[in-house]
Amino acid sequence: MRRWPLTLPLLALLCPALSGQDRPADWQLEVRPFLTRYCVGCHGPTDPEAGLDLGAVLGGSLDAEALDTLVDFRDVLRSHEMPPASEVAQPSSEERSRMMDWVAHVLELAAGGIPTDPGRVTMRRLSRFEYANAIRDLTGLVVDVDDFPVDDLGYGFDNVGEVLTISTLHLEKYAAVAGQVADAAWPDLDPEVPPVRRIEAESLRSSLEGGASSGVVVLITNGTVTGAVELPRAGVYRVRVVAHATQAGSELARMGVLVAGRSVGEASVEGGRDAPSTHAFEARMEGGRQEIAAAFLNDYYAPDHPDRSRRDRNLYVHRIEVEGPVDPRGSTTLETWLRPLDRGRGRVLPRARTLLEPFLRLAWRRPVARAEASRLAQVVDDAVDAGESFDTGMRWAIQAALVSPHFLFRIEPGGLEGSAQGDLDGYALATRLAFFLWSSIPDDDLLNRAGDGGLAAEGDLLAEVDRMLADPKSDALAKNFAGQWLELRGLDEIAPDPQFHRGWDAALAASAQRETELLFECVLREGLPITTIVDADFTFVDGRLAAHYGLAFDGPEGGFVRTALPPGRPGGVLGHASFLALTSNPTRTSPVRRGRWILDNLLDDPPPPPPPGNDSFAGGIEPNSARSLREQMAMHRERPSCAVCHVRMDALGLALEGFDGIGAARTRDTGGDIDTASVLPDGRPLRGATDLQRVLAAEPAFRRALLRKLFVYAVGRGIRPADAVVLERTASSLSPDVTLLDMIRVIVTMDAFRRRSHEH
Amino acid sequence: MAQFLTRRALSRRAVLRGVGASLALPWLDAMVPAGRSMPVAPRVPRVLFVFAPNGVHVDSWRLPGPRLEDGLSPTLEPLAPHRSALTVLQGLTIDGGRAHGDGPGDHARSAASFLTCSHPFKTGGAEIRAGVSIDQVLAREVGGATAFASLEVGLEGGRAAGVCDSGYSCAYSNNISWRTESTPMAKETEPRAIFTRLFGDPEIQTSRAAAARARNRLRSVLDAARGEFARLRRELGASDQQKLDEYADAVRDIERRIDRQDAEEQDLASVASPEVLEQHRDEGFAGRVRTFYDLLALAFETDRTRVATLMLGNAGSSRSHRFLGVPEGHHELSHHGRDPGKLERIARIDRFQIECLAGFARRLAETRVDEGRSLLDESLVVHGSGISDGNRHNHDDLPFVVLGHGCGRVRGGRHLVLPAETPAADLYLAILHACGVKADAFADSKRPLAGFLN
Repeated sequence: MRRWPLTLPLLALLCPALSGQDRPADWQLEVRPFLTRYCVGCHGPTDPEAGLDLGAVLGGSLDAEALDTLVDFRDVLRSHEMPPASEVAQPSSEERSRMMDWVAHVLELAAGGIPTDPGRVTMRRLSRFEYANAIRDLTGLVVDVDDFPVDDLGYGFDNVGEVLTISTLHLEKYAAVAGQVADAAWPDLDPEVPPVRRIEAESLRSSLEGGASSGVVVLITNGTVTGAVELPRAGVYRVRVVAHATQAGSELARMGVLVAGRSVGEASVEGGRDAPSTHAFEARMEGGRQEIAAAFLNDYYAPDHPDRSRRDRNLYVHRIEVEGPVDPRGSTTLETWLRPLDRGRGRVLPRARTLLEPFLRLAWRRPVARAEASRLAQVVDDAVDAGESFDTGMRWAIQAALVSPHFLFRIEPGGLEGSAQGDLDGYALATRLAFFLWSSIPDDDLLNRAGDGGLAAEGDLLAEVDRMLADPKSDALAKNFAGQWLELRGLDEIAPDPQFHRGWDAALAASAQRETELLFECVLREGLPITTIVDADFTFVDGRLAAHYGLAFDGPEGGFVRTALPPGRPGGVLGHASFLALTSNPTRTSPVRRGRWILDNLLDDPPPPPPPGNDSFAGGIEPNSARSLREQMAMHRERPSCAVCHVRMDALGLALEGFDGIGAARTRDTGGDIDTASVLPDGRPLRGATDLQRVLAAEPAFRRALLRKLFVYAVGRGIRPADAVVLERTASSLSPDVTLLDMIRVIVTMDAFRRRSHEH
Repeated sequence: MAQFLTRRALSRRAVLRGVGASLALPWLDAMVPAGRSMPVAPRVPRVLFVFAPNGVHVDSWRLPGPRLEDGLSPTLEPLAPHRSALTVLQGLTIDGGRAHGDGPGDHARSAASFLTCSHPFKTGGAEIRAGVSIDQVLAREVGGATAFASLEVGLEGGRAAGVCDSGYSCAYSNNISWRTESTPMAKETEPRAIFTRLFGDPEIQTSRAAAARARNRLRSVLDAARGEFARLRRELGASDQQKLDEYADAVRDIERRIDRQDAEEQDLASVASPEVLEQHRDEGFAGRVRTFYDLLALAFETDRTRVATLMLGNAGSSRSHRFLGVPEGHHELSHHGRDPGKLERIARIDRFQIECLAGFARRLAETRVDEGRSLLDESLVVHGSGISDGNRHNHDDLPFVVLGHGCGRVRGGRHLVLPAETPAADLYLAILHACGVKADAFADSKRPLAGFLN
């Protein structure tokens, strides 16, 4: 365990000067006796549980380990996880809160006495969503990353550096997608004269018996001849069929032409063998291998006709030609940007480098050294040496740039020159900002600002934050931050039992997810207090959700509208079908899971898992029991080892029983009339959802929770003791009507965001 | 008669029963140790490890008597046709799955320790550390002979939100294969993607020339990447270097595969038909499990890999098995509280898993390799769970079976009732020996499992 450079005896921090009620607990008189009575039986000097000798750590030096332990000590006391009710006598709630206050006091003092440590983030691989956004912003192309391996979560988020491992499978997918992106982003230029592809009779396939002879394929009855060409791209092509016919009956031979099985026109074919005629059609065709067919449509045979040459009508196909593409090809985003820089000739290396330098700057989020650009230009050169075209070489190089660790990882360069910590360089800071607010790479403006030192001053940094939040790309905060904080992404995985929860399907799940994202976006964009997330008196619905909630809807089909809510229907996330469904079991609601979700996410105070051997709660609930769910839960709470946590979870969850397992309002369930009354552990009564909204909105722990979650998401690592101290202090300074923007500003100006320490 | 090279070499002939085709593989120069004639070397088994989440209903699983001849249990009954190739193991323990002072999180630990037999470091993200898993040890030792050193597949991708298990990062719950102690091997979860990875995209016909050109391109791309990480590595701190090393390992894997493809004359499209993806398409989740097994069989039959892992679910999976009449989430159900109805439904899930395993064994048994031997004779299929009873979360008395004779080195047809606390690592060490890998220890094992090898 690393020690702080400056270690202070913990006791020295205790300030005996205060007196009376405000006086924090005294180590000798209160803390030590508390530890002796309740803790050191297990966490003592001999063979301590979990290897923790509590007296030694808390009575020793104030180092990182002691800080960590202090925070844990406070948290387990608060949650009643410790001391275990089954094993030792329980402290009074007064004793508990004295200890928690003592911890707060020590942390407060510690914050002043400890050198700050911005910490260090492990080089992060882009998550699959970040990868897709980066490709979009770089090339304008949308890539499907659904079949990438799911990024493992750390601390509830998928952008935590240490968890973002890279395996062979990842690299295979990256390489394959990068190849497709390069091909689509940098297609070949059309030749100045559209080429003509000729399919001679020998290469045509007849649907009838027999093939080509003497340079023609004959169709003696209705049938087709088919040929295939390889086309460079989708576009408009001229298809020409050269044919003649023998005539009989009253009409000329009719020929139809089909492209990829679809008719593009018909023509009458005249003439004899010596004078075949050419029949031209224009058709939009796809790229790649395409089939073109000529069909004989009106066979005629009159064996008794006196003129032998008028007895049989046949079609003779000589060849098919495809010319084109003849329409101008639109430029891709990348071409629009880079083609004007291309000299179009000259030595390959300098020519390629000119194109690659600006591309790499954006892709790798920093200016590249000439040598770096040259190395990728060498890829183009190698391709040309191998007989490929310059543009093919460019595709190889673009692919290589996107497979490079400089693209796939967020590398924050060294350069701290011996100091323990230092400011991030401008580009690394710009990249952190962009991935935090956009889940993507910086744009040109942001890189320019980074290069000019325009992010160093706090005011400039905050101005840049404002600009970035005004950009629609900041919707990524709702998708990725809120989507994970509130577990919305988990909606894909739930499977409510249709017998108990009629009407749930993927479309409703998507609408429910969108509702919560829209609330988050609204709170962000309109500068509403963060408490709106739990106590909004409005929500967003589309037709589907409105029907689900029993609300009137007059918005556009498929669109969402903001709508006021009738009394009794809560509009914050607690009333959203997303949360209510996420936390239910397939066959019934789960007040426990709802309570737990609130503790985990809104209060950042997760209850400990059930004690081993006592976790048969789920087994105890029967949906069709004569007893109501509420009665069954009350029985469960009678067990002391369960009660400590369940009094908290159940109270929160029971207040939401007015909503079924997919979020529809209800007044009855199988157990009879719904009762939404409960009592919080501190004795306050709670009557239903709106009451719960009010309590949560007033809860300072909600602000602390959101700040801590945003911190993990923004910085990409877990909260360490030194961070905990800073976050604790910051959270307590936030006003009750703090906005998301305020919180984002607080986070981007924290040392942990702007600075980094050397690896230890 | 077939000859076999050293364990790093490729078997000369593969008879491909699954697709009704037989084809000869050419000798590959790279495969023959330089300066030596071709010795008849020991054959190397194909090894598959199957992880089942949430434990089992122990009473329905456990055999009625001490010997296999005393009869199979209700859960294991579907394996009766393969009795002679079956080893039932009772009493294995994975001590690394236990709390050791880390408190709850048995599910995450049950996956992370399943093949590593190590105690995973409890963390939500920082300093992820489990241990090197047995399949990856095998991959390193014998994987050089096949296009894929190892293959990792699973039925579930992983949670997209929330916390997986009590303070453990999801990396622990979602992976059983660990290449290094800090690098899990991501698994493929879509049958089509698995097929494409092994045999190429069935919808794209590529000429040999075009394929060679594509390989050139990829080689060039990876070369450029290799240059970058070599330079970068010098500039970075230890944890960043570790990320780069993961990256470098991945680059090397792909490069090795391209090099092999250059030499291979095997036309992959002709040895493996994408029909395998259609056969069970309409059978829901059950069909998905069968398709995974079919793909694994195909991978073994065509010798694309000799080492594979399959996660039937992630640790703590809450999948509902409605098609078995079990609508509850599996994890929720596993906390059965001794309720007989729940226990019976857990046994139904267990039995379904064993039926799927039996189907796989049947296919391997029907695939002839050489001299009358079947692919099952040449394989070892380990099926187990890192938790015994889901209600107790215990990591001893684990439900394990092994199918196959491991190229004649595993006797089979036995029920091994082991002393309590016998490490599962003893089994893994024995499997290493069966595969010709000389090792004195693996994780917490110092000796191979007694009575398992011939």
